[in-house]
Amino acid sequence: MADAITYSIANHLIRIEGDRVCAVLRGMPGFPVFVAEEGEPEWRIVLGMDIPKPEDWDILFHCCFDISTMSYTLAKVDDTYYLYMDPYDQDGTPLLMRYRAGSSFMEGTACDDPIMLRFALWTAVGMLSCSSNMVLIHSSCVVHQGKAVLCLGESGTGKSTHTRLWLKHIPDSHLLNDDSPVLAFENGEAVVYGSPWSGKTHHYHQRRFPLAAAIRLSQAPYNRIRRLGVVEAFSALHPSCPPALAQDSAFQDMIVSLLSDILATVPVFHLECLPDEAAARTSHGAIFNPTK
Amino acid sequence: MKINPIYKVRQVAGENIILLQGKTGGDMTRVIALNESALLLWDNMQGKDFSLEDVVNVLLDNYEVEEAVARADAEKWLATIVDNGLLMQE
Repeated sequence: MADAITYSIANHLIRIEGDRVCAVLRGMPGFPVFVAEEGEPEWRIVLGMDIPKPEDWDILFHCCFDISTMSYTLAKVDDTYYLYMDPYDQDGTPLLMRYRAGSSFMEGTACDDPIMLRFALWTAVGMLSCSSNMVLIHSSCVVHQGKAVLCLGESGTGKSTHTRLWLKHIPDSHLLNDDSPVLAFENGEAVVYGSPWSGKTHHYHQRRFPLAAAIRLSQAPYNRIRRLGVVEAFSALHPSCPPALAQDSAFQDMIVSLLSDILATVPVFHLECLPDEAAARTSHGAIFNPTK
Repeated sequence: MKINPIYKVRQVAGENIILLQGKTGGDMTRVIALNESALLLWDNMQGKDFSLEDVVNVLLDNYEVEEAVARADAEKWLATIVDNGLLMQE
């Protein structure tokens, strides 16, 4: 029997199977924190299979990242999604994964490139979990007085810079995740979980906190915060959800439904800010002392 | 003319919105928010071939307005649909 590891991510058990993949995962930062005691997994990902690449598929999303080392394609044939990652380096081995809509199982070819595997599992967990009212949201997440605040923005906007300012200037603050925490809606409450994907910094915590607010950041020569109405708030949250899934109507429906629940319960702000202490005090004040 | 069926109205926390296609992973997702009359027109025009006259008539049938007002509103609604690329390309 092939090697397997069970993880608990956002309180869901997921088993990853395959000798090579497990060897890589054991040495990969982040994942060991999420290893679960044995239990019946809700989702399974099996790598090391023979999967023929379809000759013809509908491409939903294709991206050649400048900063990356591979191209990334999400495609569909009938009710089956394919994720294809192809290294720019011609000696590299592509990874092909497939997932039948609605199932709790995803399979793929073997992979022992840690960067590719990390990215593939991020997509895979995103797909498997989408129907469970949860999404991996590109953000830096700070926790203050037991409540989570998501900082959103395009890469380079200063999400991590802003959460660092909270750590430095707002007492009782710590970082939950610096890249892709899980945003979920459970029993009428918006919550955030840590995840094994935390970007360049290693903030891996298997913990859950209620969400106090989300802040969309943009750089400005001043600090100013404004609470957004529903439509703007939706526009602010949506681009931080996995962009590949937004290209598929079924995933889009699930993400929109989740965001709708979140927006009905949690305020979303737009913060125009400098990278300074006053910026952290401005956002902290708006969220935790709104009468001031 | 015909509305492109890839676009649909979604309910978000009490608002009716249409997500626009565009670059993803960027800054803000572009959306159109529909008020009650815009939604009525969308529901009536979606999935069929329609003309400006059809739009005017739906407004006249549902609201007590002068035809000139209905026509101006219909043109405004249609311009939003056209400008955002929501019609099928012939």
